[in-house]
Parts: sequence; C-alpha cells; structure tokens
Amino acid sequence: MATVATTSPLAAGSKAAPRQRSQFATVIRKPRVAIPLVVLITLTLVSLFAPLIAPYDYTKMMAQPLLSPGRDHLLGTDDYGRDVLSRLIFAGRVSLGVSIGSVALAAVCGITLGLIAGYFRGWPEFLIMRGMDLLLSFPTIVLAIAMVAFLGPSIRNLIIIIGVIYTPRFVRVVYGSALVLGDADFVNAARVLGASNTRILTTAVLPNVMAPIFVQVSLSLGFAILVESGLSFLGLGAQPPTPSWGNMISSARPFMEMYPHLLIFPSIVIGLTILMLNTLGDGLRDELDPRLRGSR
Amino acid sequence: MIQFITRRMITLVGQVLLVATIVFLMLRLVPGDPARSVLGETASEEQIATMRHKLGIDRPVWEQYVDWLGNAVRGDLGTSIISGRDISSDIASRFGNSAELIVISVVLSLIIAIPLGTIAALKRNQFIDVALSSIAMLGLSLPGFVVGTVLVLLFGLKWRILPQSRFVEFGDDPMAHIKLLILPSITLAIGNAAVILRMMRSSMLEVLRQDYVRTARAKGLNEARVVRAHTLRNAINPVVSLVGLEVATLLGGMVIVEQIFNWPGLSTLLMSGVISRDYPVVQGVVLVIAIVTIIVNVIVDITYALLDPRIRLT
Repeated sequence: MATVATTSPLAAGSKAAPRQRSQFATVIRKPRVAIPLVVLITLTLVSLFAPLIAPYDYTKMMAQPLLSPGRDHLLGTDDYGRDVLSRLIFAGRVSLGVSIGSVALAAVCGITLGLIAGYFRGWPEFLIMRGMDLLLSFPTIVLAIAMVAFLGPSIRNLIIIIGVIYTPRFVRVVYGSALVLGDADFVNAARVLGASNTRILTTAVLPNVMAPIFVQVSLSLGFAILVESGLSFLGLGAQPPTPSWGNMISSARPFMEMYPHLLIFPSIVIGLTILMLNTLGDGLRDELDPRLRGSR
Repeated sequence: MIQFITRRMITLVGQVLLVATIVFLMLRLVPGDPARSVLGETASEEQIATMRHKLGIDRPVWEQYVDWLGNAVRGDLGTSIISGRDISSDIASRFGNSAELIVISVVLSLIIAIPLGTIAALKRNQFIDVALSSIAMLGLSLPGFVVGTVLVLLFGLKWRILPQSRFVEFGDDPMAHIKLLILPSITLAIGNAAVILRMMRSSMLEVLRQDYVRTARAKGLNEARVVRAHTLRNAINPVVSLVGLEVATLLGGMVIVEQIFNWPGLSTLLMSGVISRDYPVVQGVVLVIAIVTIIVNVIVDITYALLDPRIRLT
C-alpha cells in the first residue's frame, strides 16, 4: 500500500535493512496484520481503478431517483438518480487520496523536524517542540474547520490542513527515539569515523525509528479519514458533485427514513476502512515493538 | 504542591498568549484580500474599504495585534461583521449548552468504560474480554457523525422513542430537555468510552503483574479486595491523564454532534461563522475552545499530581 511506498525508500540501503526486512516479512504473515492489509490494498486498488470498475458514471443521472438496491443498481440510486455503488467507488478516491496525501505530508515533515529536534538539540529543539505543543493545544477538528474557513475548501487545502495537524504526532515519535539514539554507542562510533550528520541520521538513526513510524502511519491514516469525512459531512470537504464518503452520508440524511440504503452503505465503507487501519496499527505495534505489547 | 501549581499556572498564561497569537494570525491565511473574500467579486471599492475597516485590516499589523490581544484579555472578542452582534456575549450564551454536553458525556463514558475495562483485564483472553475489546475497537473506528446519524434514524425516526424536536431549555421543561440530551451525549460518549476502556484494560493488566499484587494474593486476600484496595487506585492514574487528552477530542466531536442534533452550542456559532465567512466569529469561537482545552489539561495535570505524589517531584 501507499504507506509502504512512502517510507520504504528511506529504509532501503541502510545497514539495518536486512534484519528489518526479515522482521517485516515475519510480521506481515501474522493474520492480524495480513487481513487488514489485504482489505486495505483491495480498497485502494478499487479506488485507483475506479473508472474501470464502477458500473456507471458517478455524475450521470439515471432515469429513476431513489431506487432500492436491485439487479441494475446493486446498491440503489440516490436522490439525483445516480448509481450509489459507482459514487462509493469514486468517493474512495477522494477519501483515501486525501488521507494518504495528508499522512505522507505529515510523515515527511514530522520525521524531518523530529530528527532535527532530537539529534541537534539546542534552539531548533526548543522551537520545534514548543511549536508542536502549540498545534496540539487545538482540538483537531476545530483547528481543521478554522483553517478551512480561512483557506477555503478544496482537496489540495484539505491535504495541507490535515497534514499540518498530524505533523506533531510524527515529530513526537521520531524525536523521542532520535534523542536516545543520538547518544548511542554506534552513533558515536559513526561520528568518530567522520560520517556526516546527514549520513548518520539517514543510515543509523532513521532505520531504528521505522517501526513506530509504521504504526503511526497506520493509525494516522484512520484519523485522517475520520477528519476528512467529518469535514465533508459538515460541507467543508470535497464539494458536490464530487462524491466523498462524508458528503454522501450528509446528503443521505433527508431521505434516510424512507431510503436507509443511502446511509448504510457509505457508513459501512467508512467504518470498515477505519476499523482495518486501527486493527493494522494495533497489530503492527504489538508485533514490531514488544515493549508496547498490550498497551492502550 | 503549591510550587507545582504555580509553575503550571505560569505556563498556562504563556500557552494562552501563544494560542491567541496563532488565532490572530489565522486571518492572514485567507488568500488575497479577506474583505473581498467576505463580500464577493461584485462588491464596490467603497464597500471593500468599509469591510477592511470593520475587520481592522486597514491598520498596520502590529497595531491590530496589540489591539486584538488587549481586547481579548479583557474578554472583548469584537463584533460579528455580518450581524453586528457582540461575539463574546454570543459565545457566553451558548457556552453552557456545550459544557453540559461535554461534561455529561465524559461522566457517561467513565461510568461505562472503567468497570468494563476492569472486567476485560480480569478476564483476560476469555470470551468477555475478546467481546469487550472488539466492541471497543468498533467504537473507536465508527465516526461520530455515522453513530449520531444512525441513532437519529433508529430512535428518532423509526421507533420514535426520542423524537428530535425543537430545543428546550432545562428551566422550561426539565424532562424534555433531558430527553433531547440523551442521544447527543451517547454519541459523544461512545468514542471516548472506547478509548478509556482500552486504556483501563491495559493499565489494569500492567498493575496486576506487579509484585505487590502477588503478595496481596499470597497473603490470602480475596480477589475482590485485591482489585479494590491494591490495583484500581494505581491503574486509574493513566486514565486520568488520558481524560485530559480526550477532552480535546470531545470538543472536536462536539462540533459534529451539535450539528447533527441541532444542539445550540458553540459549534452552531462556529459553523454559521464559517459558512458566512464571518472571520471574527470563527476566531472568537476557536480561541475560546482552545483556551478551554488548555485549562482542562492544567486541571487534569493538577488532579494527576494530587493522586500520584511522584509526579510533583518531576
């Protein structure tokens, strides 16, 4: 999945790579990691190839609105007579795209800032960590709503906003490890041998924080979908006629008593996606980091 | 202890000032001219100039900043550029409704999660633990707006047990008010209860592994007494600090829940401000919510220190 794609180039070519690869190979075979991974990869592929898979055009209005699920329209049609299944498939592009994009942004910014803060210490540490504390003092959704209010709703802005909001989580994860590793014997040895700071950070420190980063990526993707669909539900995310799982639910509300299928299918898809991400995050944490086993 | 509280108060003031600065700077995020963004492309130069004056952006940034901060400290958050109403009093009139919802859902989630989390830990890996942990995972994964919408559909529309009628003040009709409060507070409590249950379970498991618990069992205490006297008190500490963090999540969830149930709290004000691009209103509400988050966390820190003397020393 994209989580692997965004982070694996960083781990490649490091000294610790062979050991880690085998560790990941074992972990990935565990059912509690493998099952959610397969479901998530399927969901991602379906959204990626949406034009090939979706039975109808997601904007095209069919003859009859509000059809119940049936043979021609597996999940029925909505109030404009659009095919619900096709809209769900295309909505996945927005919902998954925004969350993958924003978490990738958060991971890149967070890892960089966290490494700088934990490794170089001094005033960069002070500035970065206090800045992150400040971001954390706003409730996530409230900060997101405020930023949408000022920046305006668009897919690009959503990615930037959610990315900024989730940066502190990555900073904290990386900072803690970088702090400890910055003074570890093998890092000091690399320094004595004359390795540059960039080289030490990318080959000695970074590979050792990959496990918690993977866990954080998985959990953050779930939260990012939660925020994106929440904003879309409030009308501040993807703008109609572009479908997203959140705005499909909010537009189903006026009809839900008579046509509950409009509410149920998007709810199941959102719930399943987040459930799989959380299960994956939990599984990865337990398998990759024995110290944290059973916590939370 | 007094020293601890004093130190925490000083950082509180600093945090609030910084948060206020960020909220002030948010207006700078608006692409182009905020006044034009409020009024639209068709507005005349004259209207734009009036709006710029209303927003205060016709003056140098530093002057605006000092003014804004000075007024905010005195509790004056300015006036709405759309309705001309005083923002502080609009916030004050809705604050109680939001606080009511938050407090009730925190209490509700603690009542649900602490006993169930304890049971799950005591029956580790047995059927009841697996069932409770799975339900908690589900509660964690379902977004508030999905849970809320489904509850409205079932209890409000299908079964008509709790119809969503117009908002009633507690003073006017206590029963009707409480009836209206049930669904939104359950919606908010579910996600929170799931997080607390998981924390309570793992924290309890951690404590049950300790030597003094083995000693207590070895000296013949029955299991109920071991749990009550030796483990609960220690297991609950991490939960207290988690509740502080969760209040931020609840304040966020509140925005969506209030929209679903038409609960006249802070977020109705926030959302109407967002939709009409009433920037000062958005800034005011966001500032108040952020300050509440900070204050709650200070209270939690102090409670934590009172419960666990080891914290005060660090």
